[in-house]
Amino acid sequence: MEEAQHQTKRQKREIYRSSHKTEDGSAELPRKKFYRQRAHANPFSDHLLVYPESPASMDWSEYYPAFVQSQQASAAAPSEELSSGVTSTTNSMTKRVEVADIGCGFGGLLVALAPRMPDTLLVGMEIRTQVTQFVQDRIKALRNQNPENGEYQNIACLRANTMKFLPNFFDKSQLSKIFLCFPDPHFKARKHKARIVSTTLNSEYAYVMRPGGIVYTITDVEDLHNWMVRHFEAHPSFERLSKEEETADECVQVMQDETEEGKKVTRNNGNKYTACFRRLEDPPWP
Amino acid sequence: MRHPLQCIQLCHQRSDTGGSLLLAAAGPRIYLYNVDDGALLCSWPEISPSTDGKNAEFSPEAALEQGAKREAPESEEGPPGKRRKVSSSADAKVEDADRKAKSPPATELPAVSIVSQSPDGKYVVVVTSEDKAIRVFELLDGSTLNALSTRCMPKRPSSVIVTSDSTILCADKFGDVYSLPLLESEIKAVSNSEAEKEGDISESREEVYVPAATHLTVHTARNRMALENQMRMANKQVEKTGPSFAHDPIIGHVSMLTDMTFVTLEAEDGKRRNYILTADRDEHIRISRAPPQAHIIEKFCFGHREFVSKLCLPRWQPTRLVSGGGDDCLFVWDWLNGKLKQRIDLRPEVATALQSDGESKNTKGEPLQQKSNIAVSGIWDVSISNATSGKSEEIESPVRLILVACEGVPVLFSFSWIGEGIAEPPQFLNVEGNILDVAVLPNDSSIFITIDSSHKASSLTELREDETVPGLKAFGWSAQNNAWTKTSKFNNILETINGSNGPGTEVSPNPKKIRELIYGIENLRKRGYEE
Repeated sequence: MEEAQHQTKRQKREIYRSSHKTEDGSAELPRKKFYRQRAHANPFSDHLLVYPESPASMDWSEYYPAFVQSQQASAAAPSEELSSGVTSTTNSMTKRVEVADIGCGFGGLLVALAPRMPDTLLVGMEIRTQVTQFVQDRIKALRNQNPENGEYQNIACLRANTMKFLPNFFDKSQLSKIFLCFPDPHFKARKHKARIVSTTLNSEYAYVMRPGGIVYTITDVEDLHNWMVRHFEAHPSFERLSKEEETADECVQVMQDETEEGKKVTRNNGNKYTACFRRLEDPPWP
Repeated sequence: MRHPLQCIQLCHQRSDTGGSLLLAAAGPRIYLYNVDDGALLCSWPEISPSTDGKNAEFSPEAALEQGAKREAPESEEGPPGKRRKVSSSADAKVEDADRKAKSPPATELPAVSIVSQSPDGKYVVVVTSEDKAIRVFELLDGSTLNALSTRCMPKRPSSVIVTSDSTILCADKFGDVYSLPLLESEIKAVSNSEAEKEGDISESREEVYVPAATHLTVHTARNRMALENQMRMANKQVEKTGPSFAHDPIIGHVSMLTDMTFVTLEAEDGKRRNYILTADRDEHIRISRAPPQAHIIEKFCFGHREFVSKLCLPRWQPTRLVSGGGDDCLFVWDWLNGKLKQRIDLRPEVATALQSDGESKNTKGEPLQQKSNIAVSGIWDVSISNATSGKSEEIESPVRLILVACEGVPVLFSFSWIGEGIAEPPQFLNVEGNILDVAVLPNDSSIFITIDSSHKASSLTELREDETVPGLKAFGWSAQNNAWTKTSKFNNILETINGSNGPGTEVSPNPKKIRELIYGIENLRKRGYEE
């Protein structure tokens, strides 16, 4: 019986999705109920992930069509960012991605940040296929709603396991902001390595971030908050922002209010714990 | 059937008489030989003369009693995690025939998976796989191995290095690199409070269990029920705690680590810089600074499309890196800059090697198609000074070679290194079995090779019918022929080791266990299924 119900749900989803896909210029926002997926994914398993062999081989043009460099321009003057060590074989972009929302979920933060940072490329990275598809459809619809002003051209979403493959997407010092919003708490101690923050994994965040860049974290689980603070503070490449700096940062407010999880926690009168960390300069060799 | 020699290593230290020392591991045992006269100097665990298969005296704990009193209980309670079943009930189908010869597996010893040593050669570090233990030995008087300590790691080590400042770097299959003090006195120096602090960051060890979730963090009815259940169970649960000895996590991949190297380079400012290179199953080669700055990642070397299994820095040019894995190619890197310099196609070589082997011996090895995957199982650098050839007055440049072995291939590929890279094609060094390990004699233009004497050449599964194939081979570099040739120089040790009382004969091996031990590389390949 359950099987039959499941089937029909899936069928409905497929019908909805295919009809949604055929209307290419659709400005109708996707409906979440057709993109449900269980909340957890195992970051250690192989999945069937698609990821670039290296940052240089990553083709961003399909994600940010408005930022693809025109042919003549790219031939005449390669953009400054790209010339910094990378010889791109793919389509040249006028800008590089600078902000990553890791575990972006249904994309609330991206959508909220897009108009606030119109000249910055933001990418949401999500491990669950259905959810990634939702955000991609959502962005498509938003772009179609705003054909004139070019809004939402600066955000995109892709499926990735960042715990394994973050450096495949971004060069050293490429990012200025990383968001880790309401990550999977992985309550059991045995599962703690599956957490998105750990001292050793923080080395990878430090690698892709430029000095001065900021990691934003928020969670409703106090234990996880303490864990993230402890592990970032234990990492010599990061220092925690003071409360004043935090409140002065517009992104913090957006993160608290505009993410889907943030709204849910508000509805439930839950607590929200935020902490931000600045990427420090690497010390000289000993 | 005797157990093949899965690891061999030449000691950096020499014997009292100045001869070289060879360490060999067969199954759970390690043996120390004098290369010159072939004498067996020492073995571990000690073989008690009264044993007749009932192997109570074989207990490594007994052998370690003196050195590791403090650590012994540790190894017993060990991490219960994913302990392999050592009893053979599950493998019944595979080795029915073998069963008769097998002694009861009452206290089966863990197999040796890695043999390493300190740069000065004073200490030998051995990893045993089932108990995930790092065992440190002192090499006394160039003839005796004195067990000092046993430390069971949380996860199975895949690579172990001893640095010149007496630190063990251990890379494991969970993706972490730990730094451990080499010696016991330093192990003891870790006070309880420090261990506590350590545990604080790596593992929560709360005395009273409090669920991390609260009624504010769960929203669904089912989760709420689970939480209530947890609350009820509170205090009954005891969270697993980490080992009590010092082991600082310094590097971590979210992937299985397969190999690691440590290197010191002189920077432009004349200072020495230490690097750690780590390779993982997800195609990455990561360049990190060594402690105390191991949190800084300098570079990644991108280009592998399959797992990476072996790293080798040629000693004559350590700014180059040769890497191999599940790809058809060998890669040569300018690793400091993350730049790929060369890709050497191994596929034609492997195909030729398997073909020629099949023809010459007419064995019914696996058809070539089944060997469609290449898995590099070893890369070694050899530098041979040509001073001995001495015919002409001019000083010839040394012969530099990169030796490459692939899993299940009975040929050692010997590539010349010319200028700044590998020259093709390689020479083929044919042996009678799949290559397991290679040890290079320092400045001696000779190598030892161990081959799988239990399985047929070119096959990872078919057992041999004849068991007379010698497990250890020796070759010398012939300057005239510019090739590896058989040498009689080492007949003594070859006789001892390959003889009927040689290593591997006291062990009555289980074929499945042997396979797991010596053929683990191809298993790293991703199979492409969804979770």
